[in-house]
Amino acid sequence: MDEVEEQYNVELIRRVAQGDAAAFATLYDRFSPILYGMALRMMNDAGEAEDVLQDGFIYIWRRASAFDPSRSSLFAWLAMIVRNKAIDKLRVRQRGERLHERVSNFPELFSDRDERSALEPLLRESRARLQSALSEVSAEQRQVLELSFLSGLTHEQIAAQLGAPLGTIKARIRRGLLRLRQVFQGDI
Amino acid sequence: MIDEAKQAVAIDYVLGELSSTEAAAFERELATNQELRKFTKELRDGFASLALAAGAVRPPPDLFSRILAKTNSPKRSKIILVSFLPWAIAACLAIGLLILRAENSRIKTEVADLSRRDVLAHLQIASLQAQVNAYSKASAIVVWNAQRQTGLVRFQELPATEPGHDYQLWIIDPSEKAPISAGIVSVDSGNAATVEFRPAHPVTAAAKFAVSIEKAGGSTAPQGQIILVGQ
Repeated sequence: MDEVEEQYNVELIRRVAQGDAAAFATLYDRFSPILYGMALRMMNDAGEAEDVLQDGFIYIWRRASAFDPSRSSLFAWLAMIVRNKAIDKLRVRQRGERLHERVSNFPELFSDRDERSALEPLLRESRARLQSALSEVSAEQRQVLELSFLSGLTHEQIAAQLGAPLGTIKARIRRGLLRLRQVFQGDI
Repeated sequence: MIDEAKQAVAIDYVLGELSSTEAAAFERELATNQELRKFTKELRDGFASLALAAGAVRPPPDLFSRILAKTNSPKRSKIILVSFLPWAIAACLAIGLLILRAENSRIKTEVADLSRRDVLAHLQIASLQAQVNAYSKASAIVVWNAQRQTGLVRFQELPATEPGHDYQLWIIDPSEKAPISAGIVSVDSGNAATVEFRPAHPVTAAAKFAVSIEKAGGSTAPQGQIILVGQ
């Protein structure tokens, strides 16, 4: 995502931090489809995904002033907040069979389920780059990256579920993440 | 240069794999080490990009109102309070006018404040308001980067055009005889749009921004009705 886009985002969250409900509505309108899609993917339950998105945006409204552009892009900050809310819920309901389902039935990614929810053009461009970057890493690296982000499993849990040594899982995640860093350096 | 051991710690930090004590120690280091902070930011941005792999799905239409209700937004509280009173419409109009004036004044103050900040000094932010009653709800915010000659415009409450027509964004540059086209705008089904634009030719000074209704495909100069203007 380019500099103008990110500066627009920074201005938007600054206004949210000042209690500007209109800016909050704009922020929601702009990012909720991808964040809800992510929550839905993680929870695999529409009601729980709505709760996650709701908790996430309430947190964003209350803690907007904590956003620090030197620590992450706005998109990354929002995504990590909603992801953490989802992980909190997943850990509450976590059971052995759930873990197994979350690993073995991990759904196909990169498909918008609702045409009207098409991403913002610049997010769409970033996603195309992500898709391209993931196509360059090994299938094993891609699998653990996606599991690590979207399943909320710890490294130990991923290792146990995939039957691979913990060191191998960590190495795959690290290599994959360093590759993503290269692709999005100074971006998003 | 961040060595491999430090990179590994940064990765574990981003992934939430550090203990609270380790994370606190790493954060102290981040506060003083700019290179490490940049590296960690790039890692976090890369990791969060995985959210884009999930398909976009529009949340239920009423979810945002539920969120607002729980945020106890002062603006929201006012709306709920007055909506049940018989004189609500008149009161809302009066309050709305006051809010708009205050908002306009606040935005101007904010823009002035922003222009003083080095990081945003080259940015110009314009709030576009409706010029005709039929588009009274429509609004737009333009962020213009004069240095890079690119901008971003965000529309809200802008209804779709009639068939055979398009909205077109214009930049009014006093040094030019005619407004400069900044491209065609299509709104989505939610009557909103975010468009990155580049003018048809270089802009010396963007005094105003305007949106008109033109024939499909746009015009070289505005011929249709101007519906939004702002500076």
